[in-house]
Amino acid sequence: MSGEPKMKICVVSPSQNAYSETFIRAHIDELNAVAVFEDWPYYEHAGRRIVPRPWRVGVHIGPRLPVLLRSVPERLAVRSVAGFLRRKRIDVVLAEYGPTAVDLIDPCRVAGVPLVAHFHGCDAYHRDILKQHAESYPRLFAAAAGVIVVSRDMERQLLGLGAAPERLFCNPCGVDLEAFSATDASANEPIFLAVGRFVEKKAPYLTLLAFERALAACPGARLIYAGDGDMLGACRQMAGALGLSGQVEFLGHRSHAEVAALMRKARAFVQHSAVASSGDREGTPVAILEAAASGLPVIATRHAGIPEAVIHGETGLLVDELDIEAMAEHIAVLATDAGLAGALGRRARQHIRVNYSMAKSVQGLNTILRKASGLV
Amino acid sequence: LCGVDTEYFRPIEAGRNPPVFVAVGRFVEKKAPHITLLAFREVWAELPAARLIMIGDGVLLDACKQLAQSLGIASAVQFPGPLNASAVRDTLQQARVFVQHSVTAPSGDSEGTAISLLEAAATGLPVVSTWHGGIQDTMVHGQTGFLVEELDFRAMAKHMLSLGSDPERATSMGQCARQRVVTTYSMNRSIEGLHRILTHAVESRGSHPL
Repeated sequence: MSGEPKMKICVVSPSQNAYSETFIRAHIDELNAVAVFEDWPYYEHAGRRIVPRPWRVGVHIGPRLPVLLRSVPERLAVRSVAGFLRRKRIDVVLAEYGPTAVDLIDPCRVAGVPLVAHFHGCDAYHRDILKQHAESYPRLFAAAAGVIVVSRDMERQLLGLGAAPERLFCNPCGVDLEAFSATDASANEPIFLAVGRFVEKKAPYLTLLAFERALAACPGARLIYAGDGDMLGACRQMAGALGLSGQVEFLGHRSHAEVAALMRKARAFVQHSAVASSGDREGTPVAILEAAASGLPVIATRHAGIPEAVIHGETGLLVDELDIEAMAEHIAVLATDAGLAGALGRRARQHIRVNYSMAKSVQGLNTILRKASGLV
Repeated sequence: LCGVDTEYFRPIEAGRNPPVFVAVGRFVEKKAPHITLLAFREVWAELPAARLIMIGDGVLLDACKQLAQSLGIASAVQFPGPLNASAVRDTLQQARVFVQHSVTAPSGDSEGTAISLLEAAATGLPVVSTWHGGIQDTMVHGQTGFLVEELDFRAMAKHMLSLGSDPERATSMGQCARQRVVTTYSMNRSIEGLHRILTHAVESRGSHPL
């Protein structure tokens, strides 16, 4: 990128959760962002307008003020953010998640700074979020210089919501191949690894049921689950009820280094992502990319960005959502055929190296931001 | 002890109803609705006429809907959401068996006597539940229904199946359940007890400076 004029990027992200913070951290570091808001109030703060810290007080008293005065803290917030962007001579704002981007429409307009919205998952699919932003998303699509999605599935979704095709870019998140060194899956024991939050769209209990069914064909297999969430307790109960306490381990939340180490010891990665009843879906699950980068074959569902990241029969084995029978068969196959697991895993790593590397993702992001900022 | 209005929950003959299993309660860990689903899968495999109605709402509801689908029992399971008192009563009156798989949640959270269970018993339904909290004070294993160990969905399924396929047994156990609720837990008894306690408190007021 030397020779090109330096681009001053401001990254704005909500404090979400440990998993999504990975790639946001990567954006901040790899893009050399000059300014960062990392704890931008998120849509969970229902009804609260978005302002940086100095105006937080205004947010809290805002709703109780008479209507005429109520918009005052809001206007002050817009002005304070806009002033900040101008003072720092920001060329472009990258807002992580749709709702965050919505909050930056006005500040960016006032400051005359182009805005790029980066969608990730729930912000593009969750029914409540879509309802809440039924009016503001169209405003965002009209105002943003660029809108980024992480899968073709999400691209179709946002086109359906009215995003302008010429300003819509598909740029999947990338994996740091250094952090996830290659393992030979065929040399590992039949350990099936699942990593992710225990939430409905990752349906961990379905992975569990599929694994239970597979056990008849491969009694030596084990399932290790790293992650935390609302449904962890229910999954523990189910594992206990199914008599799987000896074969299934729930590790709770694990650091990235620990996850990388677990991946080096596994035979395959499993994840039964399914559309939640709220309409919520995945983007392109980063854990799947990381597992593939580690040289693991991935057993997963045809869901959101997964069929792009995992090529059925080449780098992993895919099933339809909720089809635990088929998932059980795939688990049994990879538990008993180590050679196949190794071959799929090698191609998986290759697929990630070519299509989902961090370098490629950041390069893509950089190009989109440059285009949006008018610096090309 | 809480009471139940045994006039409002009029008794029925459980054996006259089709093999419909009803669960009423929040979809939370300590009521383990997912374990009830595992049990029902076994029941349905043996008794295709079996139906399960799970009334209530909660964090595990959506997960349970997914589970029912993947277990291939979606056509036999209904999730009507939370219902009002009269709708619950109507549903109970058309059922064969009441089921509730209460467990001690990993958080240690456990429950007392579930009102919905008493209401089902008052309606004359046999109850299949767990050896848990207040349930074992209310229900008598082998008489008012069956109790199983926590998480033992296979035993639960076995008992559900026996009541699902034996109407007479369901009727007699249901009558027994009603009898027990009428004599022990009816609203009258509960209010009488409360009355005694209050009377006692009033009479002994002189000895307590208020």
